[in-house]
Order: sequence, then C-alpha cells, then structure tokens
Amino acid sequence: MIPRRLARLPAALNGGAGPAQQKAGRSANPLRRPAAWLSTYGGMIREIAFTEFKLKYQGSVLGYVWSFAKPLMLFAILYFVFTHVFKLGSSVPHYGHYLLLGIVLWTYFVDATIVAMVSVVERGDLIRKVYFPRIVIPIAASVSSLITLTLNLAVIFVFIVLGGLGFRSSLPIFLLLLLELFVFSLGCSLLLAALYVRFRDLRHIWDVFLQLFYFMSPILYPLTLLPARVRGLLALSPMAQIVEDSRKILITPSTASVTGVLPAPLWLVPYLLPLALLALGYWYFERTAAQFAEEI
Amino acid sequence: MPADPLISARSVNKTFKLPTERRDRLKEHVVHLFRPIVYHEFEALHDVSLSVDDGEFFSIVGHNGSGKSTLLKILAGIYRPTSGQVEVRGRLSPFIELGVGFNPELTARDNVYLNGTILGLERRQIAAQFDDIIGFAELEPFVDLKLKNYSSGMLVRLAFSVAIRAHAEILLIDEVLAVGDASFQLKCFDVFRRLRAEGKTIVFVSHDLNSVMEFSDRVMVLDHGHVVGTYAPAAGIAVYQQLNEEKASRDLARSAAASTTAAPTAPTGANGNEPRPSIRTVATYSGDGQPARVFHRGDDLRVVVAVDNPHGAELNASVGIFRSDGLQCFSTSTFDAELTQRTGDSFELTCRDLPLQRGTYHLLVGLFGKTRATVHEYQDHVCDFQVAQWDDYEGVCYVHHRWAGEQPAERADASRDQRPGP
Repeated sequence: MIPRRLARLPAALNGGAGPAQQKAGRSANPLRRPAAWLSTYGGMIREIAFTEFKLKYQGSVLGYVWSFAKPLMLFAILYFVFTHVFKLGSSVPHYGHYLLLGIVLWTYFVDATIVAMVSVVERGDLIRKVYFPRIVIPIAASVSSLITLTLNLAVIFVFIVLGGLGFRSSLPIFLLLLLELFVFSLGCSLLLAALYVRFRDLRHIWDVFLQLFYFMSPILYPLTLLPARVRGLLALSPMAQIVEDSRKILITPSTASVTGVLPAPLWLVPYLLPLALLALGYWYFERTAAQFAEEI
Repeated sequence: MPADPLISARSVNKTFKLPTERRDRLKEHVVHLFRPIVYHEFEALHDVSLSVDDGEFFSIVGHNGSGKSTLLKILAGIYRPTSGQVEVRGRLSPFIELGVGFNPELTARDNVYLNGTILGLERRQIAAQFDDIIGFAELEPFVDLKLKNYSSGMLVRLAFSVAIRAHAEILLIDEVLAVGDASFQLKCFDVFRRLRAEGKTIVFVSHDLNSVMEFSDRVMVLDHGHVVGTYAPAAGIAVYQQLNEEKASRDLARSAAASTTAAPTAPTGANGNEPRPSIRTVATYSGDGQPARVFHRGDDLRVVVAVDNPHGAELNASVGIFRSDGLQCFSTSTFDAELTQRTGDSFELTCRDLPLQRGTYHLLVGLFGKTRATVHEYQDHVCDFQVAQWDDYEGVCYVHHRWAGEQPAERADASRDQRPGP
C-alpha cells in the first residue's frame, strides 16, 4: 500500500499530469512560473471573461448600454437625493464627480465579488468534467467585471472633461489604484468562491455585509465629512483608501487621503490589506480546489 | 515496446465519502458543531493498476457503476485518488465528455471558441481551423444559430469536431458514440483510425462493444471498482459479457443466500502464494480422437482443457469460439452443464456437426472456481484452427435450409456428397 502522502504528490496538486504538463509547457502553479501559466491559461481566462460579459446583457434590448446606464441611473437618483433632499452634496465641491467615481468603483467591487463567489459552483459542469486550474474561473469572473469597469471609467473621463477638471500628470497612478482594487476584490473573490462551495448561505451573508460596507465606505460622502474618530477607523478599509486616492488624482487634489487621516504606520494598513487578502484567498482556494469536483 | 508507459497508475484507490446528511448551510454547521458528520464510505476503485503504452488504444469496459468514469477522471486529474499513484507523461487532452462548457445561449461560433480554449487551444489556432471544425460537423448553415436551438445530434457533432482538434498526445474519451446517426458514427470511426495512425494514445470508455472490439489494442475489465483483468479485445469483451450474465443471474440468486459472491480476482499476475488452479494445456481433436488443426464444416470438434488442480477444488471451465476478426461465434461453459464431477484435472468439450463457415478461428478458454465470480484464468488466442468447406455458402455459419421445389434428399447431404472420399 502506498502511503497517502505519496499519493498526493503527482496527481492532486498538479492536477493529474504533474511533470508531464510542465514538460509540455503547461504550468499548473501560477506562482512558480507565472509567464508560462499565463500563456497557457490566459486565453481561457479571456474567453470565459468575455463570454460572461456577453451573456450578462444578452436578451436585453439595450444590451451593453446597460453597463453604462445602470451606474448612471443609480448616480442620478443618489445625486438628486443628496443634493436636493439632504443638502449634503452642496457643501462638497464637485460632489457629482465624487459620487459618480465612488459608485463606479464600488459597483466593480460588488459585481466582481458576487459574480466570482458563485462562479465556481455555477461552472460545476466544467469542473466535474475537465481538468484545468480551478483558479481560472474566479479570475475570469473578476476580469469580466473589469470590462464593465473600463466602460464606466470612460464615461467618468467624459464627465471630467465636460466638468472642465482636466487631467493631471499623476494620472498613471490611478492605474495602480485600479490594480489595487483588482487585487482587493480578487482576494475577496477567491476566499468567497472557495467558501461558497461549502456554505451556500454566504450569498445572503455577503449581501448584508456589502450593504454595511457600502455605508462604511466613502461612496456617498468624502472621508473628511466624518467625525475624526470614526474617520480614522473607516480609513483602514482599502475601499476608502482607493476611492479617496482616486478622487484626489482625478477630481480635486485637496481630497484627504488616508495618509492624512491615519498616523504614520497605520496608513499602510489599507495599502497592504489587499495583498494580504489575495495571499490568504489564494492559499485557501488552492487548498480546497482539489476537492471541488467532488463537493459541488 | 517503449521503456516507459505514457500512463501508469499504481494501486489507485478512490473512496467517496457520502454524507448521510447534507450540511451545506452555515446554520447546520453551527447547530451541529459538536456532532461530526456521519459519512457512508463508498469504495469506487480498489487497488487499480494500469499502464498504457505510447500509441496504444486502451479501452475500459465495465457495467454501470464499475468505476470506469471515476478512473478516467483520476487519470485526467479531476479527482485525486484516495491513495495510490498516477503518472502521466505527455500532454493530456482534458476532455472527458463532449460539449463540456457549451453554453446554450451562445452561437455555435462562440461556443467553438469557448470549448476550444477549454480544450487548450489558442484563439488563432481555432480561427485557423474554424471552417474545418464546422465542415466536419456539417453545420455550415447553422454557424450563427444559438446552441439552444440545436438538436442533440448536432450538438454532439459540433462537440466531437472541436474535441478532435485538441493538441494532445493522450486523449481520454468517455461515451462518445452514444448519440449521432450512423453516418456520423462512421466519420467518428475514421477519426479514431486516423488518431491511431498518428500514434496518439487513447483511453476509451464505452458501452459500445463493437467500437471497443474494432479499435482497442487492450481491454481492461472493471467490476465494482476491481480490475478483473486486462485482455486482448475479444477476450476482454467475452469476460465483460460473462460478467454481465453472471450479474444478471446473481441478482436473481441474491435472495438465495449465495454468500460466496467474492469479488473476482485477477486471473494472472496476482501474487498470492497459494498454488491455484490453472490451465495447463488446451488442445483440439477431430471426432476420431486425433489431434487436429483443420476441420471441415460438419465435422466434430473436440476441445480438451487440461488443468492443474492441486487441491482438487471444484472447477468450471468455459470455451468460446472466435473468428479471427474477433467475432464471438459461440461460447459455452460448464455452468450451463450438469457435470457429474468438477474436481478433476481436465474438461472435455465435443462440438457436434460444426456449423462454422470457412475461416480461421481461435478459442478463448476460461477457468473458474465454484462460481463465475472466481476467475482463475483466461487464455485467449489458444488453439488456432481452420475450417474449410466444399461449397460456396457465405456467412457466419451454416444454416440448414431448403428451397421450395428442391429435391430434399440431394440437398441435405450436399456438402458431404461433394467431399472427395471419407
């Protein structure tokens, strides 16, 4: 009898064809040989991502228009409520831009995590019948939401130009913030997707959590509008940091970044948290992935 | 034979844990935090070893639930074995079933790209072969039709057409030919022949014994997760069919407290130390007792199976007659006969008035214990013999017949009359 320990080595971790697949240019581990891994599975990620994007609006008359229209309509409602009913916005310069940017970034986070959470279970047929690295699926879900985000950002850029705000030389940093947002939501997604295989309640729990997180993040308001003590606490969230930093770069340089709100070592927390989440999510996902085919 | 097999599995076991209750809600986990989930264990594969050589067409047969698909999924890396080792050298086509990942809401065009990527093709590779793929599936007019409007036959054609483009040295194929009309099946066979000729290694799981017979180099028979043995195609199919018969009769006899339904043991290569009954020699004789290898239709054929039976155990034997192309002409076993004693060291079978037509035949001889479940040994391709005939009737066997208005007396002995002297 061969001990269990041995059994795991070739078949499980590398997905049944361990040394063989490496030989044929396939790398099962994205960390070990990222370039080879991406060249093998990048096409699959792209194909699944675009398919999901395509399917999302299929059958609707306006099609892709909805990917712009939805956040814009949400924006219109919130803008009306917070400038005419609550008068909150009127004290904030460029409140419209603030709000729209916040909504778009937030919508991405919500979209990506919800779609990715259920993605592994919904692609159960694929997982039960074909071998490929399971992580491709939640990554593809995140990328698919990224397409919507890109379209929405184009709208924001139009509004920025129309608002006469112009672009500053720090614009490339915004790309880094988008990368941070992607890493943050992917970290959450991996964790959620793996957990969702076992706990289907997660969908409802996550809905409620998102609602809470929404009000705790500076989407409807700038961080500076909060009382100092609460502000420090909420600024620990990467979402707050990303939204505020984006506003600082794209809209008004005077926007308070988390570096101004939190004391010296603490403001590193929101920047490092996405990376930590990604590491945790990756670790947990890979640890459970071999069992997905049997558990779904 | 190459030094290393492309696929080798050693002592693979797979046990599924089936929870007796389902807990996929958090509440259930919280409420029953301190009560462990009770699992019912199901052993899908038990000590399965196999090796498939480069360029081999290796088939796996077995009844439903025998572990065929589980084994294939383990080879593909979809399931991890509970214990044991699997080694695959070479690129494996990851498809187990056809049309995986097909989305009914997308057109055939989109699905070809999606499915192709899942099979490991790059977008431009698919683009280059796109017309071939659609052409082979005979779906040119429907390229931009959504898949939900396709018939199941069209779906299978499309799926098969994409699947065969996968750039892989090893293909794992499960139940491909279940759907599709006759002409498409012929095309599939052509593809199989081509893949074989290209030297691809194929592991094939199917219930379609004809295609198993036609293409396989070797056939592995699985029964309840145990390997019965690996045989030449004709023998493998015979073993499988015998298992099926046995299963049917066992189902009937189950209530009769037949507790001796031990799992079949591997016929050869088992490392048991006990000397067990085995086939010593098989020989064919003519009706008058002379050793013979050439017979005429209508002759008597005698088969003598000499066995080593060290402990005088109760034995049974089976003899199958196969044509050189693998057609099973006739099989019989002592299970069907009322023998006075089964503990001796030889079995003798006489076939009267051999109805076989011209051709080359061979025997498949099996040796069993008290029940069919105890397979001691199978020997395939033993005792090649020729059958000659004097007339020009065609077909598998001679059927006694008469045309209306024919002279009955002349016809009945026609073949014997033409024989040049006894």
